[in-house]
Amino acid sequence: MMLILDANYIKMKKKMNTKAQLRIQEMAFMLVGVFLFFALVGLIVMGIVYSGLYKTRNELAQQKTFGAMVALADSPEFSCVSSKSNCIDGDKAISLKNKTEYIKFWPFSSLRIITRYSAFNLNYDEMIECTNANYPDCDVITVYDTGASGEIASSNFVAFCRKEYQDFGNLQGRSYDDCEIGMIVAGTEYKNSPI
Amino acid sequence: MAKLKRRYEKSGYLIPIYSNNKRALFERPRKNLYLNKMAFEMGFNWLFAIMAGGFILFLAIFAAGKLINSGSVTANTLNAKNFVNVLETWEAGLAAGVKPPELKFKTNTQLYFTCSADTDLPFGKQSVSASDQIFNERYSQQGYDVTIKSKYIFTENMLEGKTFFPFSVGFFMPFKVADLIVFSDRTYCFYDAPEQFKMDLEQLQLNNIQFPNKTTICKGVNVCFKSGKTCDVSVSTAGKYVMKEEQRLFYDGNLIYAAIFSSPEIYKCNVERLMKKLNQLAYIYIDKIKIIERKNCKSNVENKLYQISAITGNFTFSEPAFKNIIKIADEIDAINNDADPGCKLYKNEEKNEY
Repeated sequence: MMLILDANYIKMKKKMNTKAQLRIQEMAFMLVGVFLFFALVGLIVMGIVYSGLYKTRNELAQQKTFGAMVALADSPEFSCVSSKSNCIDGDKAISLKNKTEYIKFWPFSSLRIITRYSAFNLNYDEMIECTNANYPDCDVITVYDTGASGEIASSNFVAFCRKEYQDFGNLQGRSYDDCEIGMIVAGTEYKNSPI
Repeated sequence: MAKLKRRYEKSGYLIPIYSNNKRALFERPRKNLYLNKMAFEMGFNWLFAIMAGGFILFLAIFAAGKLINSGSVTANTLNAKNFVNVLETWEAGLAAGVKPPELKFKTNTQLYFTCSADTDLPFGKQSVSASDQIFNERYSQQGYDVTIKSKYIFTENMLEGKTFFPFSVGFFMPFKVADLIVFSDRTYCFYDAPEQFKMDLEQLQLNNIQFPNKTTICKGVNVCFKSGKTCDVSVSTAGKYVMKEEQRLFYDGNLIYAAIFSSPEIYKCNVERLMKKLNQLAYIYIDKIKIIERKNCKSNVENKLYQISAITGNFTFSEPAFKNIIKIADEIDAINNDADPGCKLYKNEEKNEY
């Protein structure tokens, strides 16, 4: 035997349908909320992780620059004729000035060599830039400068040597290595955003 | 209809009934309602919650997996980067050979090396990536490649272990071109090595190099200087070549170490890179000649330098090309040695000949 429901039941059912729809809407809103919450948390976590990564990247890049710079004076491109360690051959260094091939070879964003002690306290714009024409009467050899927007400079003292000739007169003379304190200044590009 | 009704009755779900005025009505079968007390009504809310919860759970697990994975890739990339940073400080200068400290990792690590002489011209490049052991024999996902442009690392294609044994020697052709950094992870057993070679290697005090005699046993890569043994690597000092993986690797001076310890691909590629560096250095010396001429220093090597730069610019590894470069380098060396002591273009320590 079956029970036939009356019109009140239909009204109640309609009411229930409206309630269910509301619940679906609530659920949908909650889902969107939960999703947005997780997305926000994810973004914050990523931000923290990646800001740490950039810091690590910059520290590693600086370490790399420093390590490479210390070893640079002993590299074949700069090493002195005499078997001195930490000594730069100025006559070789000046020829590196126009060699753009080396920009990507060393891990520096800029590389300069201050050729004499007297120039140590000067700003770059006060120093006399070395060219083939005025060498060795100049202060700084800019091997290259990529023009990086943010840069950390590291420096290292070196012996800066070049060939000199002493004239004794009567067509007599001798060539010798003239050395003084110089400085290598290498730049590391500083990055603080992925762009 | 009756059949359908019975089926519904058994199932415990609501049964749609059509009344006389054709409106849909519902009836719950009383029998089932009272008998099946364990019945559970799966409402929309439940279904929706399970589906949404499952989806969120799946997303969370997926994101966690990705995060862990990217974490291990980052750690491996940092490992490789640190490794490259350590290499940057290794410049032997004019020293005959340098033994930097052994490189130790906390866990078993695989280091992958690749080399390319034709990209990033004119110097080419090498890349290294790392992967550390997670558990058992499983290794984490390989980190990103870290590029090395100013170093020449001679090694097998893949090294594995906790401790790696490096040493570095200069490469002269005829002036110093670069340092050869040799990396190894296994024991090498040298049989019948020439005295000079043995002395030079023993000076470096490497823990993975052995010179066994008739009474000692050595387990590792067998390197033989005389034929007649089962050898992994054979060296012919007369022909100036090393036979490895059925390939003949020609060498000169300290390149003998590079040929023994590295894979043929990395050896050939790095020799090509070295020749490209020699090409650039030749131009630097040509410019230097012009500078020191102002100081009454004359050098006769300019033509020979042009000659060597012409053949090293697009060098590809082959015996005739390599021997031709050695010949010109020897000529440059002879001219430079005869120059005024104050006007020598370069000075080398004694060149090793094996």
